[in-house]
Amino acid sequence: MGMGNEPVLELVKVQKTYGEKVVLNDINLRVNKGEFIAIVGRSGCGKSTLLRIIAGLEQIQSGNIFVKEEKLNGRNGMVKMMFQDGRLLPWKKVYENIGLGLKTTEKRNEIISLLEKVGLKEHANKWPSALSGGQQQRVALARALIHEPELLLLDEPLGALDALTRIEMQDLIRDLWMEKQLTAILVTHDVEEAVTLANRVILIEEGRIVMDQPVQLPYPRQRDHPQFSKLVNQILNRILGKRENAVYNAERTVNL
Amino acid sequence: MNGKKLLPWIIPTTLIIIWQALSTLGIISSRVLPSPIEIVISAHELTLNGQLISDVWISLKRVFWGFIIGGGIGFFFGLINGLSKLSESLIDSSIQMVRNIPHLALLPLVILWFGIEEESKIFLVALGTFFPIYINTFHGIRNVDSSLVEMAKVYELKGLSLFWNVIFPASLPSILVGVRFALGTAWVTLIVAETIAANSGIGYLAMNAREFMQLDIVLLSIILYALLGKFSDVIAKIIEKKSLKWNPSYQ
Repeated sequence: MGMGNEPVLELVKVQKTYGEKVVLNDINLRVNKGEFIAIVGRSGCGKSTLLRIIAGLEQIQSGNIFVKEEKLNGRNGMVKMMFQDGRLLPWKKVYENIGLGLKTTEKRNEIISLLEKVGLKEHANKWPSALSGGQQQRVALARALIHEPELLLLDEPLGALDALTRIEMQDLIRDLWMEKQLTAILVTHDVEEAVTLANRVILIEEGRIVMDQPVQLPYPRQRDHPQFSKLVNQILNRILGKRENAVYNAERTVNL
Repeated sequence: MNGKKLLPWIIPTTLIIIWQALSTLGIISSRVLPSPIEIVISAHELTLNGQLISDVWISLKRVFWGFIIGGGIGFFFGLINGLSKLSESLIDSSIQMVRNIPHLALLPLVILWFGIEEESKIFLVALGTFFPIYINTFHGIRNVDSSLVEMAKVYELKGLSLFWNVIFPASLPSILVGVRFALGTAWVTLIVAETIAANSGIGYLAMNAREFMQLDIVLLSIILYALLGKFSDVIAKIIEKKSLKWNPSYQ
C-alpha cells in the first residue's frame, strides 16, 4: 500500500454537542493518504455524527478539522460521502446519477469505465427503481468515485444489504480502494466487516475514541484465518465491555 | 383493440342504445329529452354553419388563458413560499384567507368590474385555478425528501442546479396533481360564468337555446362540456405519464 505520512484528514480536539448532550468529545484523529479506516461502536456512540462532521454536513462546537491541511469550513469538494440508503435521484437514469454535479459532456468515458468496474454497464440506461438494493449502492459508489475524492466517506453503506450482496460489495470496495489508491473512512456496526476492509479500526464509545487498532493482515483477508477471528473477538469483547477476560493489547496485535 | 380496451365503453354504449330506443318508441317525449340522433343532427347543423366551432374555440381559449394566468401566478407563489420561510410567513396566511371565499361568489362583482367581456371569464377561471396550483406546488416543494437535498449538497449542487436537478422533479408529482384539480375547477368556473354572463361560448349557446326551447342544443352543450373536461384531463394525464415515467406507479 502506498501509505505515506501525508495527512489527508486531521481532527484536533473536536467537540460536538446537541444542546446539553455531548455527542463527540475531544476527538483527535489523523488519517494518512491511502489509509482505510473503519469506525465501529454501538448505535448512538457518535460514529455517524463524526462522519457527517467530516463531510461538512454538521457544525462542531470547538476544535479544528483539516482536509489536506486546509481548514474545513462547511462543505468541501474533496470529500465525498456514500450513505446507507443509496440516495439516488429516482428521476435520473443510472448514468445521469453517476454524472450528478458534472457538466453533461464531462467525463463521459470515466462514467462508462466506472459503470463497467461496478458491473452495471448494461444498466446505464435504467431508472434506479429498476435496480436491486445492492445495484443501487454500486451506483452510489460510482457516483462518489467519479469525482476522484481525496477522502471517501462510507456511512454504513452495506447495512441494508443481504449477506451475500454484502460480501460482494466488500470485495468491490476493497478492489476499488486498492486500484484507485483511495483514502477511506467506513462507519459500520459490523466488526467483521471492519476487519475485512480496514487497516485501522477505531472504536468510539460515548463520544470518545477508546481504541485505535491497526490491522496488518494481508489482503484479501481470509475470514477463517486465526488472527482474523482473534482480532474480531478482541474488538467485540472491548465493545461489549468484557475487558477482564480478554487480552487487549494493541501493541502485541500489531506485531503478530 | 382487445377486449379489455372495449370494456369501459360497454355501459355508455348500452345506455345510448336504450335511450334511442325509448325515444323512437315514443316512451320519452322529445320535448323532455331529444334522442341521441336528434342531438347528432343538430351538432352537424351547427358545425356546418360554423357556430359550434366558434363557440367551442372561444370556450377553450378562455380556459387556456385563465389556466395559464392563474396557474402561472399560483406556481410562482407556491414556489417562493415553498422555498422561503420568510416569504411564506409574509404571504401564505393572506392567500389562505382569500381561498376561503368561493371564487364564484365574486361573479356579480366581476360583472360590475369587467362587464360580460372576455376579462370577466378569464379572471374567474384564473382565480379558480390559482389555488389548487398554489397549494400543490407549495406542499410539493415543502415535502421534498431532505436526505436527497443533503446528498445533493455533498455533490456541490447549489441554487438553480439544485432546483432543476432535485427540488423541481421531486415536487413535480404534487404539482401535476394540482394541474389536474385546476383543470377541473377551470371548466366548472367557465360553465357558470358563461351561463350567467356571456355573449359567446358553449354556455351562451346553451342559454340561447333555452330561450327558444331547443332542447337538443342544450343537451349538446352539456355533452360538449363533458367532452372538453375529459379532453383536458386526458392531456394532463399524458403530461403526467411523460414527465413521471421514472416513477414505478406511472409506468
